[in-house]
Amino acid sequence: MRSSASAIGRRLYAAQAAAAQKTEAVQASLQKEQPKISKLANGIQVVSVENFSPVSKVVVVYNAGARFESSQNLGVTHALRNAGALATKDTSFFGNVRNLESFGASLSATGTREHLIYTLDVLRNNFDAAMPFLASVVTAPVFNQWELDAAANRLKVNLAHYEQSACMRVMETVHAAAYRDTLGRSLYSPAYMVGRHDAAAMADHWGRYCTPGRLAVVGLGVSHASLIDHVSHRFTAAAGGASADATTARFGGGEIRELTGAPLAHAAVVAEGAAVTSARDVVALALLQKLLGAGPTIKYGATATTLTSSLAKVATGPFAASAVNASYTDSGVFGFYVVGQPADMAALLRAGMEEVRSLAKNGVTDQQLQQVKQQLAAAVLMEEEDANEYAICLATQALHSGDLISSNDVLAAIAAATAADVAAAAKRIVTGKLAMSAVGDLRNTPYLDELV
Amino acid sequence: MAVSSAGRSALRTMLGRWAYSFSGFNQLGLMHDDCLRETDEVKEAVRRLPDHVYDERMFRISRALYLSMKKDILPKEEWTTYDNDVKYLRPYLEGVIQENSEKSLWNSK
Repeated sequence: MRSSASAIGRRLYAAQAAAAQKTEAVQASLQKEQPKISKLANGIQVVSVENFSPVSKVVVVYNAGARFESSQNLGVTHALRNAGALATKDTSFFGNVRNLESFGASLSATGTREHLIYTLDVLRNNFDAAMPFLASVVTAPVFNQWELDAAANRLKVNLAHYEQSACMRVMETVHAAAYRDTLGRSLYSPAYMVGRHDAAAMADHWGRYCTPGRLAVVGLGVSHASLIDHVSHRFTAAAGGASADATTARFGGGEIRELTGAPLAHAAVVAEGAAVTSARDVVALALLQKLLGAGPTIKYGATATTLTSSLAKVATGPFAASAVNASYTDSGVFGFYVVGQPADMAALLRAGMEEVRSLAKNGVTDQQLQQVKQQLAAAVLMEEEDANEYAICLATQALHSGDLISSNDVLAAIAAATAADVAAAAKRIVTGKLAMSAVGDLRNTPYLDELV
Repeated sequence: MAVSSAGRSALRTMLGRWAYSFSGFNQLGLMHDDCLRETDEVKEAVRRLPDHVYDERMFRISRALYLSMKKDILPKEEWTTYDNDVKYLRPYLEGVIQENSEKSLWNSK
């Protein structure tokens, strides 16, 4: 018995070794490929990276996010991403679900302030079978009112989660305080609008913003020719309707405070950061963000960043702090976020402001600069390892510049940044208009005018 | 061939018109789609109607019940006719039937 078992064991090892040799031979013949980009005649940007993964990923990005909502249809993009796989001109809701399930595919809809994003993951062998369903979902939705009514319950669940998350509420309200409209529009629908996003409102937003000229399709693990073939044949139903709104975001500044029954206080203070178009500022602020602290680099580890260590001197209880940095096509926010004991908040926020001011005044040392450059370079490369992040990053580049920036160029830009760049970025932050939001127990959280 | 098919359809229309006025529901102000037997499919299709179409349907039905209770009919100028009868439920009903057949196809796999 024993000998036969070990014989099987040996046999299996041998088979594994043979298989390993085989894969090595295959791997040797697969060349690493760079992203390819093409613009179709109707304006759709198609990007693909053949990474030879057994799972293909297709990310469809419309330049149609929350910033394009008006005060009449607030939350319509939340309702749209919630209506992700509903009936289309060619397929039913039921058909979408059952067919995609049978292909081993997964379809999700997400959204940012600027973009509406549909992601399809599917086994490579079933890519051709699943693409027609993705194409129908993203180009020919019909918005049946009875399906929207049924889906509205999910909006309520989303909103209940949102209410519970002080962190999300701070980020949403600090954008609202900073920009008012455009980038200030929340990713979440106001509660009073749930059920009011009717078929006509959805179709109106869709017709204005989900048009071929505002669409990028990114494929990972697909061949460029095959992706172009599918997109040019199947993404034809995308309509061009009423005119799109193109208001530029304006950083107005201000503050929003929300008292809740939570035991802690959360607050963020931001100034206008960098738009994605100004590459030099983006790099400088990303370095500044790493310097101030962007969360622990070791899981459950402490952060020994300048922001945390200066706040630790004044804190009497547990707290957390990190820099906030977000860039959009025409503006951005940069600042810091503090969670602390309600009684500590005045001291914590003043210490945070003082830290940024002293960085702007004294600049950074060479040693600090080298350290954050390495952290930033690693973060950029690690982001490329995350297929979702990478695909969305490629899509936004294709949508807004029609071109792709290679990671080598990004690394070169990081290497070229100087201490003066970082200090100049910090100076712009401390001299600019500020926006603030605070959520939680705000008994000792100062107002914005008490901070500056 | 074309003439004969046109002739057939004219005959059908004529027959339809006669059957419609003979059926009697039009004298109570009902439309054809108000009188469908309430199967699960019809119930689902009715649920999907836009609000104002649903309200009009309910008005016609309650008016018909009231008239029927009084053993009365509407004055002739208020009868629905073959020409102004709208098959308002048909697109919704067809959608439901198609979805159901798609479901049973998947369930038989």
